[in-house]
Amino acid sequence: MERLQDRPMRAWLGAGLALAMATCGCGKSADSHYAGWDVFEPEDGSFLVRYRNPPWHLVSKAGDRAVLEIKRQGSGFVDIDAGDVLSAGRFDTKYYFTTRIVSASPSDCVTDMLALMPEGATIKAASADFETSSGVLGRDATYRYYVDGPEMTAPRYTRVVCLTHPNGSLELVVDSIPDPLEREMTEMLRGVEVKAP
Amino acid sequence: MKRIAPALVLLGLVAFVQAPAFAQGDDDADVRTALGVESADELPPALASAQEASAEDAPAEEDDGVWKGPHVELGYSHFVLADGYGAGSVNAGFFGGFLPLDTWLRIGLSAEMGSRSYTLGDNDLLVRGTLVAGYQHLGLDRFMPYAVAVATMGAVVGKRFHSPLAEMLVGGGVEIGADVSIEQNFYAGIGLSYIRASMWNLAYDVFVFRFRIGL
Repeated sequence: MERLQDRPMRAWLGAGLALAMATCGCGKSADSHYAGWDVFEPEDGSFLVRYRNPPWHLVSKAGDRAVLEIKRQGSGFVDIDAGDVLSAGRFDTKYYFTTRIVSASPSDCVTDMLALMPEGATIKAASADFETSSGVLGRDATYRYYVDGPEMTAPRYTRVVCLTHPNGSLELVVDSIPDPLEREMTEMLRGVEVKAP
Repeated sequence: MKRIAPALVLLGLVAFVQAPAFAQGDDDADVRTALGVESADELPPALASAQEASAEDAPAEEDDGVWKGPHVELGYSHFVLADGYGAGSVNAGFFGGFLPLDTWLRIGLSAEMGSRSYTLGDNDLLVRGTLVAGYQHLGLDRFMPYAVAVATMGAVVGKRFHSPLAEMLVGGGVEIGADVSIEQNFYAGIGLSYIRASMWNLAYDVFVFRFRIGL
């Protein structure tokens, strides 16, 4: 009698164990900083950008240029006059991130970007040293501006990080509604790698 | 009749609200005293039938003061679901229970909710359910050690780059622990488990500490 009772119990136990084993986690270890993040690497392989997908999406890539973005909630219902200088799509986003190689030094790269600040923009963080997780050095600056004037819209921010690159500088530009100096954004920028040619 | 009428009304109310209490011996004596009768046979028919019904409704699982039905418990659990930056600590509360079944087989369920720390932003919300099945050792007086297989499923909800995200969490593993009877049906227990979990295509080695109290 006892053996008959034990059989279904063993079956239950076996089924439970099988279920537990079947649901065992498989995949890469979650211990590293950028575990699970996607990577953009141009064809020449001179640098790579890591981004968490979701919420980031790679919108386009061509040569050394890549556009990454996080859409703004309800952005499809927003109609903003973006003007001639900046693309309209940029203001539909919460974050807008671009890459390109420029021939200037990191210091000049940042200075050039600050010279293109929209009218009325203010410096939030002046040009300062920047270092990636892999030890690449560069310069970093952030300014704040309003798309339609301070009385009409919330501010947007532009953060420029220029890293030393064999061909000059790798220019990384983040245009965002949230403050791009927050740790999440800084960690994403620190995750960029520049490789020797 | 006039003498016992108010008492009948009062006792009728008591019988309605607290019928199970009449199953207790002391309460029977109180009823008889209030009615001025010496034995249960002399009680009015309605009250006597209420007493009989109450006695039938008494929990069948209770024997010698020890509850042998399902146990319910509240508890606290702590583990780390790494966020890649040295945090990911989860502190959660859970509600659950298990069926002792009066055999070596232990089957339990629990629902858990808590907070997961995130280094680069606001904490995440973690919600998960856990199913356990395995062996429990009976016959050690106040102690009941156990070893069970664990399956868990849930979700972690949080924000990344100011965008709401929800990731599914699934995992399986083993748990060992013990319950200690403190006073009759009241017990406390601890459990330590290892769970191999998966979330967002990443694998996590999770060691869970659980403390619980139950009835």
